Amino acid sequence: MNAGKKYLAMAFVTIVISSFFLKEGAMNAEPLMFATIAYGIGTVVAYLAHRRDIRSVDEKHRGNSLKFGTVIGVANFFGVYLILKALETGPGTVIFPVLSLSLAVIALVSIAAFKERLNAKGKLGLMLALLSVLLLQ
Amino acid sequence: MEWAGYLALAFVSYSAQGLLFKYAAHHGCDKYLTTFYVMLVVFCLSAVISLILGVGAVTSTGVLAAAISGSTYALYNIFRVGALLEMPASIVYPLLRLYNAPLLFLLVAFTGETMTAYNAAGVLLALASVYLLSNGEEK
Repeated sequence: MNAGKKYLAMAFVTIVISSFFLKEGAMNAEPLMFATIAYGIGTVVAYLAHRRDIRSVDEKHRGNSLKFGTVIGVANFFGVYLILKALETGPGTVIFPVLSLSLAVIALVSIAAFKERLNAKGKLGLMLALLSVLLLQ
Repeated sequence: MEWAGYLALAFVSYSAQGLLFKYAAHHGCDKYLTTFYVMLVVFCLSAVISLILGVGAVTSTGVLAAAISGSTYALYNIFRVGALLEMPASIVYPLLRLYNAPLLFLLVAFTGETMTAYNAAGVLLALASVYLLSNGEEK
């Protein structure tokens, strides 16, 4: 298995665990408090994980990491806030399936912007994944 | 603003996040450092707003769940950037989004949630798409 597939497999396992405990936590903590604790501990974990490698990162890539990390962090925070606001009055049965379709936007923009190429299996897999995500809501 | 307006903005935010992670990988960002900044920014925003609005209620189970969820989410982001460095986003994201299938089994086993016929069909489609997507990159 190549490095990309190993990372992908580990990402898959960790997002399953994280989402399971997110559901558990949602019943036992006020959302903002949950986010503060979860992201606070996540910050420590990310710091401990990268500490070994910090010397190998050059200035340019450190600067890029700071820029992208900050913008993604702000988008992440407001994304969660906006979903909670939508769920206050809107139906979850509509909101979650619609959000799942962001997957299609990401895939299509990536294909266009990064010239990614999928074969017939990849294209069919992408369509089945979209359908599967909608059915699994 | 109506809920549909919030949903539209959340949709843009979600799509943007996914793409920004790909752009971060494309620009050679360090996976650990990028994740560290993402987590730090969200932590600071949540903590400041919590302090302004007043600290909310949380049980000891909630703290434990937040600790596990937060630490695994940090690792997920590190691994996600690692995968995006090596593989196309149009393969990585559809595969990652299928996490709902094993999650459903965990919820059925441990929290008593029920699986509908639609969910079962979704699991079967997820298995098929995992096979197809893992062989879906044009050489």
